[in-house]
Amino acid sequence: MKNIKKINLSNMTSVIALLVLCVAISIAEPAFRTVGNMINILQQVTVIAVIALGINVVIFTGGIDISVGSVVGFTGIIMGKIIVEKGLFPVLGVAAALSIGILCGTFNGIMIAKFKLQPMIATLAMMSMARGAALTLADGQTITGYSDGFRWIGVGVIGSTQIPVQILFMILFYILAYYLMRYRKFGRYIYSIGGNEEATRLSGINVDKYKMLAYTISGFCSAVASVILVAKLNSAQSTAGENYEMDAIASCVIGGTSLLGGFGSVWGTFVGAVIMIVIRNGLNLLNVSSNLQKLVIGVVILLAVLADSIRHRPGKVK
Amino acid sequence: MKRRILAVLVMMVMVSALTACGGSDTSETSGGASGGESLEEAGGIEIAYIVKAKTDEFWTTMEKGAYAYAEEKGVKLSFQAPEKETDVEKQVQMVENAVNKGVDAIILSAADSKSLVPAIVKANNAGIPVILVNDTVDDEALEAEGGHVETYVGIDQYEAASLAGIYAAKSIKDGKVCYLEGISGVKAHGDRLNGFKDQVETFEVAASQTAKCDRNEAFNVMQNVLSANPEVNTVWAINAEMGQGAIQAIEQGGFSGKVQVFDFDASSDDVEAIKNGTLTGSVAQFPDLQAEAAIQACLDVIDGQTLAEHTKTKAELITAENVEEFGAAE
Amino acid sequence: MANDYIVEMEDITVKFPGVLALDQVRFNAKPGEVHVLLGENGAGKSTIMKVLAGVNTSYEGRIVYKGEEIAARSVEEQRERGVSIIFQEMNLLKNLTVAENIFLGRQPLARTGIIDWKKMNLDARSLLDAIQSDISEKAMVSSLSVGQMQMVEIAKALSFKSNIIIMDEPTSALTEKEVQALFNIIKQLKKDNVAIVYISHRLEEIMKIGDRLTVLRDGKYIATVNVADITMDQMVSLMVGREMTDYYPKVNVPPGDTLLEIKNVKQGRLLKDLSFYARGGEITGFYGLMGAGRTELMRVVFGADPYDSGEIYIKGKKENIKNCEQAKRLGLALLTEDRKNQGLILEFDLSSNISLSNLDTAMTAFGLNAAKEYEKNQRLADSMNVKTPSLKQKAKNLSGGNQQKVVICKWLNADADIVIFDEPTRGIDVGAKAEIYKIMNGLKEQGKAVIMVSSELAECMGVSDRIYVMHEGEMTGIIEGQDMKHMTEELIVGFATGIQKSKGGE
Repeated sequence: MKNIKKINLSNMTSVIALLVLCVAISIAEPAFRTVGNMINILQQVTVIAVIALGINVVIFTGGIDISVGSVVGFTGIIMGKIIVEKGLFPVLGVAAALSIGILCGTFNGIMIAKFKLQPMIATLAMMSMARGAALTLADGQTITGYSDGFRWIGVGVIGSTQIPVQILFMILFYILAYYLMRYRKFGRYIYSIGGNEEATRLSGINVDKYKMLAYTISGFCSAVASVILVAKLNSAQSTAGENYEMDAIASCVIGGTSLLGGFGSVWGTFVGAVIMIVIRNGLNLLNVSSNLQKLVIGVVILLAVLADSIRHRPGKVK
Repeated sequence: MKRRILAVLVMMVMVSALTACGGSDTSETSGGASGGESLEEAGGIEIAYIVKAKTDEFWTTMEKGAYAYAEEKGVKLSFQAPEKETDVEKQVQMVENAVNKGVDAIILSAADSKSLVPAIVKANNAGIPVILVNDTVDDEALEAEGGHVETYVGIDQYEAASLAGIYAAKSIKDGKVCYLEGISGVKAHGDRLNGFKDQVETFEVAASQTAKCDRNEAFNVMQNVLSANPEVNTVWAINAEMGQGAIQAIEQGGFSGKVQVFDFDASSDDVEAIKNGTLTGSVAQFPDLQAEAAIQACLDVIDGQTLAEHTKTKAELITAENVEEFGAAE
Repeated sequence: MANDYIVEMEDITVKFPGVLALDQVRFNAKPGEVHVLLGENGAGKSTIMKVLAGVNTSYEGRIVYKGEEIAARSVEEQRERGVSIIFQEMNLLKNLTVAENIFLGRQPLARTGIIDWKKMNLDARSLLDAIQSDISEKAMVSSLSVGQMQMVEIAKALSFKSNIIIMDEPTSALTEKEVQALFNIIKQLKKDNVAIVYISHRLEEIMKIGDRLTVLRDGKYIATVNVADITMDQMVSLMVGREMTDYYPKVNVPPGDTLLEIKNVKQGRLLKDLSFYARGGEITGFYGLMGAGRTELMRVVFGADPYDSGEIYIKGKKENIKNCEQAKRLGLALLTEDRKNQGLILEFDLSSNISLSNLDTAMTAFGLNAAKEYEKNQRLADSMNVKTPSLKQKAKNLSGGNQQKVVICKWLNADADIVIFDEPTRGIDVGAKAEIYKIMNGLKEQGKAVIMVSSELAECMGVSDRIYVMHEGEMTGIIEGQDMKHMTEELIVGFATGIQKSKGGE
């Protein structure tokens, strides 16, 4: 189970980095280490973490999906139209959003698996189409005014524990994903496709099917993230999700997922997302300019990728 | 393994280094940050000033004015913004972080008139007064959530825009106008559009499109509009960047002198343009005065005063007639 | 002492993670001799030459070259000194022409500083002519066969005017004609006082071309002898450390039912109308030269490539095979010709590789069980005698022979009934070869249908129960039953070159 062993190693690096980061920031700004701030951070991480979850699966297969941000925007507007404008049950709106997310993802999957388009190009097209759809449908507007029942996902807390619903939801989602990737055949096939697609195909595995499923999952996760986002902000903007794909990919990379495919872990990506938000949150509390934050995150990504390439340096033995 | 530890160490050094130099963003030392709780005792007031972005000269002028006034008053100020005006979630997170940090007041220029409401409510619940500046939030939405702001500091956007509209109505015959709109969902932009529009009802509308407050986009939109409608003789852009973009498109297209351009904000580019005749008029909002008023409002609230719903600040139409004075005052 | 030898290597030790690849090995070469390096896979022959060539720079020990002690720090440095190496895995750039590859980085320049294409092509042409190759210097490398690429590599090494040329398994993918051409070149080089280090398994070739022979075993130096003073059997004993009596073990098993039959399969211009059948309890051999279409045929059978027309019957039932998943379900298995890139996921561990064809064996009600999976795979690996410290090793770290065994384990895991081996022993030493033949016999005894595609005539003749011979997409000969007793090498090669077509063949 070398994969699993490897996962533990890469997990360790990012967890250590996270701890070091937290300690460093806590020393400089005590407001960071309050329970309130910790909860804040976990809340701020939910949307990106869920998107990253989906994109992670795609990256495992050696592909990429840059349409996720646009799908978040698109599905958000769909919910706005159905729940606010048409006044129908929130459940219907959510169901529609999830369906659209699945549809977009599957469309990407078909383009890539069946028509052999390059993932970057196919998802670039979807990125444009979904964003255009969102802007057109909503006429560039924002749709607000959701029912309390719907908003519970984004702002509710669980009884006396006061743990926000969205955090619990995110954790459960991740546990589910971990189970799927580690304990089901699906997960193993996904890793194998990333490791060597042709060898996997020649081992009698329907590579096209699993590649397609990966993109479907990515679209689905974007839709789920959108539900959380709209519930949190009580509004769906047509521009929502812009650039989120970059943050999501960064989370995966920082967490140890190799962009070449075949390596990485579910929890690593979670840690990666948390690191991103911790940096943002910490630097915000320290009054560091937003622009400088981007620089820091860029450096962190670079370090993470360097660590990744050192780990996977091709060894010459024979 | 060695290299991994090294990577982590480097990251730690980086973050520490940045936290040290991060102090440049605040007016006072960040070394005193560790005594965050003791600031109250020292009599220092901490205000979080969160705007939509720093990409427009308008905001940097406001920032300068804010820090200057804060220093004068001995107030600790943190002027923050996301990288883009459209990054609403980030701005919400900034407000949440400020609430969590326990600042004494929050000044906010909302990126979206409805999405910031939940964050405002969080501030209300924590007992932190919220003052809006330059951009309002949607009153209905605010009321529905049970949120409340101390005051809105800013010009009356509609009134200010109409200054330009009145001038245009007087000086232009047979107007054929192109409108360069702003970002939908931002009430201020809508008010500016209508303020001008309502004064020139007799003008024929050739086009009305958004260029998202961006200079480049405005250039492209203007170019396209001019090709389709070469008789356009009036342009109303609801911000300076778009006005500049339009001016460039007009120059390049060979329409110089044939189109009268009006915009909003009176940036330094605008001042130059008015001087050399490519811009007919611009509505100045004096963002630095707005910042002063906003900070003063915070201090007043903390002092126990109740504020008016709208703290109106100055707006003036700058044209060739008064541009020299205005330029000097800048 | 410096006068006799062009290079002397002493006490060379190389360590890889978990493996002592070379243990104080010594080697020397004289100008103008062909010095053969012999040993099983994993013995260290490639490794020590990679040290000399500057590929493997982390080593301990002394190298004395042209009388001076040197440190081999890089390929470029060694090449400048006059040491060239031709790898078993081609190092050519597929999207450039032959001439461009030969002169990569040292293109002749005209006075203006621009590349002189005409001169480059002319020089390339004369190099190719010197080795009697009819490859066009303007051809794209991507269009060449493996054998032709090897020729280009040789031409490239020649262009460097080296003092020592190391050839790592140079003939593994060459036709008879090309091998002869290579030997002629080697003889020419000897006259020019170039030392040739020749790494090979092919004992007959060694007898023909070698002057001296050094044997390595398990990373240790065993002996150096003159080729003239040794027999092939003795070579094998030195290599393996034991007596080898049976090169091609054969077991007698009564043939069972026809498990696989194909009729009139056509594919584009490659497969022209092929029919064959394979029965349980038999090893059906496929012989042919490069380009005969055997690999393409097997890929069609396994669903890896589509076919235009024809019928495939599995266990008597007609099937329309559309993909590998379906083929696997029907009981087929294909061990590809390119085991590294198509048979294994090199970056993954052995256990994951073995499980790939069949994860059901590792499933419990809850899901994949790591312990159960590992245990099953360990048993398979042990039964195949895979030499590795643990199944957690990455597949890329194993020797060729062991890699092949892992691929076999993968398909044993799937419990296939029709097992197709495409060049199963290419690049594998004698000891491991025998093990693989034993495995094939074992499958035979279980009643499975074994198909073996092979380019080694002796192997084909020795191991198969029936032989099909193909030439350029057609079945030119079938040898079965009584004919197996009377067949000759000339007969089979005749079919393979298309000179003859047997009555039954089509």
